[in-house]
Amino acid sequence: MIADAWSVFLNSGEHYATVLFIGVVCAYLGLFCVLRGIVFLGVALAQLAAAGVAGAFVVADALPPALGESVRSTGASLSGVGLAALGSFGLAAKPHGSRIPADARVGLVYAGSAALAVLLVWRSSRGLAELRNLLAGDVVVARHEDLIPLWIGLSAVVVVHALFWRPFLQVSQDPEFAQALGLPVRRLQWLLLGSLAVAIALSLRAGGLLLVFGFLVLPPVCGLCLGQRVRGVLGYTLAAACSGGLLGYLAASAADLPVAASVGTALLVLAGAAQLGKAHPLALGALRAGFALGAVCALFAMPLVLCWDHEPHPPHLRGDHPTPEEEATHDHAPRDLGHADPAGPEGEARPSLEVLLRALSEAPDPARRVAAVEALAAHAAPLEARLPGLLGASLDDDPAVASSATAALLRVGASPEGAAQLRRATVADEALTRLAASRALVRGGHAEAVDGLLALLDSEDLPLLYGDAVGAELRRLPRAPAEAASPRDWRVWWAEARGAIRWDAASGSFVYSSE
Amino acid sequence: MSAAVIEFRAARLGYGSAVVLPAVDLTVGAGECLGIVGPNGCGKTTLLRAILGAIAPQAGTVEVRARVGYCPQRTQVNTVLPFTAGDVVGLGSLKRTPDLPARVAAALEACGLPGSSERVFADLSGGQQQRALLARALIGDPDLILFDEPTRGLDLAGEHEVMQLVSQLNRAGKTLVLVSHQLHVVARYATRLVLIHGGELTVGPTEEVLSSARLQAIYGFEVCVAQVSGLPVILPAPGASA
Repeated sequence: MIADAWSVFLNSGEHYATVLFIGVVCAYLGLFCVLRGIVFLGVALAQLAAAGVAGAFVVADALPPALGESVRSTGASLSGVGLAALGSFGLAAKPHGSRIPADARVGLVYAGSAALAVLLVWRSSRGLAELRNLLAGDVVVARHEDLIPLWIGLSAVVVVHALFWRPFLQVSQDPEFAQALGLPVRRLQWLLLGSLAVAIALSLRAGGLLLVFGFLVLPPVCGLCLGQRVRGVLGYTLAAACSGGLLGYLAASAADLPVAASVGTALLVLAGAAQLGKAHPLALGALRAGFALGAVCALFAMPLVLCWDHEPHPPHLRGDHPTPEEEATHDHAPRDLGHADPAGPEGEARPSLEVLLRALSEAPDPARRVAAVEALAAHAAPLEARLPGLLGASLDDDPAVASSATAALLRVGASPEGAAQLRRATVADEALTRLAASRALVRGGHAEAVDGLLALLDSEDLPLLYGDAVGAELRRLPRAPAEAASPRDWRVWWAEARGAIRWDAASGSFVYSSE
Repeated sequence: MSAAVIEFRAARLGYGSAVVLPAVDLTVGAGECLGIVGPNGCGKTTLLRAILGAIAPQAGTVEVRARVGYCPQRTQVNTVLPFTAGDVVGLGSLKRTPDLPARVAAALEACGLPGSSERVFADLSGGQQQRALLARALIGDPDLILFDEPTRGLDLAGEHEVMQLVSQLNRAGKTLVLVSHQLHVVARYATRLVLIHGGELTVGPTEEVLSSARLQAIYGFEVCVAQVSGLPVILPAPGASA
């Protein structure tokens, strides 16, 4: 299990690096939130960004598909950043004579934007899946091109803070004194809050509310418990973010858990340990050493996973579209995934199994589902755990997803063990599982599986929608009746054809023996 | 009077459309120690903020012809993070220069806190915190230092420590503006006084401005102004009721 988890982790590459980057930037900004007493403002900004993202989803639904998809990807990030930035400026302003205290205004924004986000995604065609995505995030199935804006945005935030660290500290520690020094206090405060809004909104798109909240609040708590000076607090805050990111990611890899929740739990445990240990000198020393070691391990693991991950990602995970040649290779040069070495070179990006299965059933973007199929096919988990997902995906409405899953099932069926598992699936309770498994076996040259397809012709539990799919599959066989035939006709035909049909490995299809 | 360091000319001060001080005409000369007193909400802080440049006059002009140092009350400094005294004083400098640690140490020493650079600011006593803030104000080598309630919340020892330093600075030629509620403190150390009441400024020598009749008119009860060992003492008269 440890070896599997390690192999999954090693193949996480840019997703692990992204979690760590989000962690370090949000934790650092969280320290400013703590210093200025605006932790709740950070949380409200995240919720506001979520409402912006949800609004973009609703707009995308009303647009033509191509335009809608671009609004759904780029527009969602922009509207999230925009709304969070507007919120930060609005909440930073102190209306003269207002009787509503600042924290009540923040609470108002938080409650309003949370409600708005839920209502908007509810109206969206992919409502619940997107709601869950906003809350829990799915950084591990995020595509490369989705991560690029995040990396650019967070890098910009890092540059701004490298340039303005000292003035930001001055205006946060004593704004009136900063004013006396001649610093442009209001502009610096807006820049600080703007950078907070950008970091939160972009991180939210990739990692979800849970990951952002966790990194914003919990590492600074660790830093305040362990550090005796500002430099120490900053150091332990960043160390906690790195350690929590590493531990959470490892736990998610080992136990097939969602990354955001795992990282959040790891951070909570670290914060609890720091809180308990701060009063005892020995425990404090051990905790400090542990946090520092965790940070070193997390940072050293980054180049390791990035180098390990030099094998190219599956095309869709990279965001490229496959060439026709690649598609052809996909379909006609099966690899034995049924026997794939969990840590072998076939292994590519491997997020948690649960996340992949969820992405297959809920990801709105077909390209993401294709990426999830590819990752699932190469996943280290046992085949019986992956097979239901692949079988389901082979019946996906989207041709690219179905084709990708079918290709993976062909590779599965090419091995004796894989074929045996597919055969077991042909007698499953679910009619769709029986259909997908029989079809995969037939396409892989297992003529006996035609019986499974015939049995489905008059199966009462096969959804009507798939009735034609069985006939279409049978018509792929040589000399099959071209016109619609009754189940009885099909059985008569098959009784005659069974002896004459054989599998031609060279062409990858059935041929009539007389041909 | 020596060269003017601060000059208000028919300045109208306020926030937004609200006017706090309708017409301020005030000149502060170099080397003066000006005290600003008055009841709560009279506009002391508004006057101070105008000198700091934090608010612009709605009308008229405010000119400040000196490097300004600012020493707020100690509770204004955010101590959520464990800033050291050195950190706090160092942040008084606009830029981090190579000689900053030496300047910080020198400023702390000048304010009676030698070797305190690494002590956590929040762990210092009230008087020490206020002196550290004075050190922060001094690190930019200002000619004019503004004090906002420098002795608020301090015990007698703390008050004495801080005001001795203030007095030393004034003797060394610094121009000081002292805003305080504590009339006896201002009366003792200020060379000239501004009393603000009802949007109007009364300016003059301390003993003239702090008369029993004027204070009674402002506060609404009988106030006793006396001299004890040559020092001013201002107290509510026995049996006085507001």
